[in-house]
Amino acid sequence: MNPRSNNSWKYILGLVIILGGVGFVLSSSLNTNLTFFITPSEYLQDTAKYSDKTVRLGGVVQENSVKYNKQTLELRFVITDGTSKFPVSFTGTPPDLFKPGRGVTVEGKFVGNTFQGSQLLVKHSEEYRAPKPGEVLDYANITDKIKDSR
Amino acid sequence: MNPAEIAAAHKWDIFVYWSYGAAVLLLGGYAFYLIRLMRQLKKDTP
Amino acid sequence: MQSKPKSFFDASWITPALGFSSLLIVVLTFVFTFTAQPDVQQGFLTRILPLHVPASWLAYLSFGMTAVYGLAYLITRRNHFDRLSASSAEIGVVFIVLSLFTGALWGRPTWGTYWQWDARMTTTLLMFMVYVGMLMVRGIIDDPARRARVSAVIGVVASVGVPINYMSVYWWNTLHQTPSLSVAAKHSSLANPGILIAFLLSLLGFTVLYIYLLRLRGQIALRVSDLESEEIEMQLGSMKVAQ
Repeated sequence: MNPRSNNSWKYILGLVIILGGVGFVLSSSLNTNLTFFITPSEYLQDTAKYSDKTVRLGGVVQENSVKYNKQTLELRFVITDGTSKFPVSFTGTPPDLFKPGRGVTVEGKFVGNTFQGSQLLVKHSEEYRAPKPGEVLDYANITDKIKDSR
Repeated sequence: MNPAEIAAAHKWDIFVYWSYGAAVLLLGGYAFYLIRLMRQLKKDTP
Repeated sequence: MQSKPKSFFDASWITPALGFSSLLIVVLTFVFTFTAQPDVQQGFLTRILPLHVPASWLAYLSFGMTAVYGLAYLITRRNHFDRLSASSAEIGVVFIVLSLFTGALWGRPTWGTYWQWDARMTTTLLMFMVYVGMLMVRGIIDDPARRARVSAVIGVVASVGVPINYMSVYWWNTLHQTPSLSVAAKHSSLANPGILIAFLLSLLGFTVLYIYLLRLRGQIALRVSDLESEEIEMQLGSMKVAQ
């Protein structure tokens, strides 16, 4: 008997698992599409295509628009890409890096004019630096960077 | 905002150590496995 | 086996020397990483960068070299290149696992999620699966020449994943950010000196480690294939006896 064929069923089993995995990944990524999010402007351009569907909006949290109730965990803010903006409502604890002027993606649906988010993620820029002593963060600059890096 | 304030704000810092621990285990483990395999093979094939 | 004239690169001290230097550089990386200033946005979590990014780049390098050696095998039909191609793929799988794992640990505190099906992450997972699949296929095929041929073709074709994975953050809207450091665009957003030094050191250390692992894995593969051909000869011998 060939010494290798003792082992080859293990490899065949492994290959079947891998092929199943590839199939699973392809089906789950094709469902959500390769475009992870759309901007508010892109939504407005194609409202008919997206309305009444669960979509993921990506943009920047407008400054002075964040209202968070720590008791009810109700979060309200305005998402903008510089040209278009929508009010967003979300219930839950936002990620630690959630702040005005930072990039976010929100998955959800429009209820009336408000975007009802079910999942909130932070999309940060690729810039890394140490804070300078007594520094006040320059949100406008960060906003530009996130728009560039989307 | 000073570095100490920023550090205090993050409760996830333990993940940094997990990452480096994983790197040591994974790369070190793989290298160790190869070294041992080589020793074994050297014994088997003079 | 074939006996080539010994070149400088065949010297037996080179492999252990590479191992020790990579160990030294990696230790130095740790020193720089764990003394680096926290980041303005994400605090100490930025220290995952000198691990995650070089691990990803080394996976690219490994899979790129898998294709280069695979192509070299298809042209020259020298078993040497088949062994190096497979070894490089195996090392690439180790690096891509590290990249996926550190990426998940970095993603949870910064983005708010361990995993999302965005283009960068999905293509990374697919690459991981394709190369594990390649190693599985190698295990199934018994005939060494056929195994080498099939493996080389997979290695060459699968390498399209590298540019697709790298460009995914530019081509599609992704959760993953674009590169902080681009040699081609002469652009660096790594304005944190400690992290930048740690990153460059780590990249150097991982590259030396890659060369070390590749040499070691290649030497092991050579010894295994010697054993394999001995076994086949012995079987052929015993079959003749049985007849």
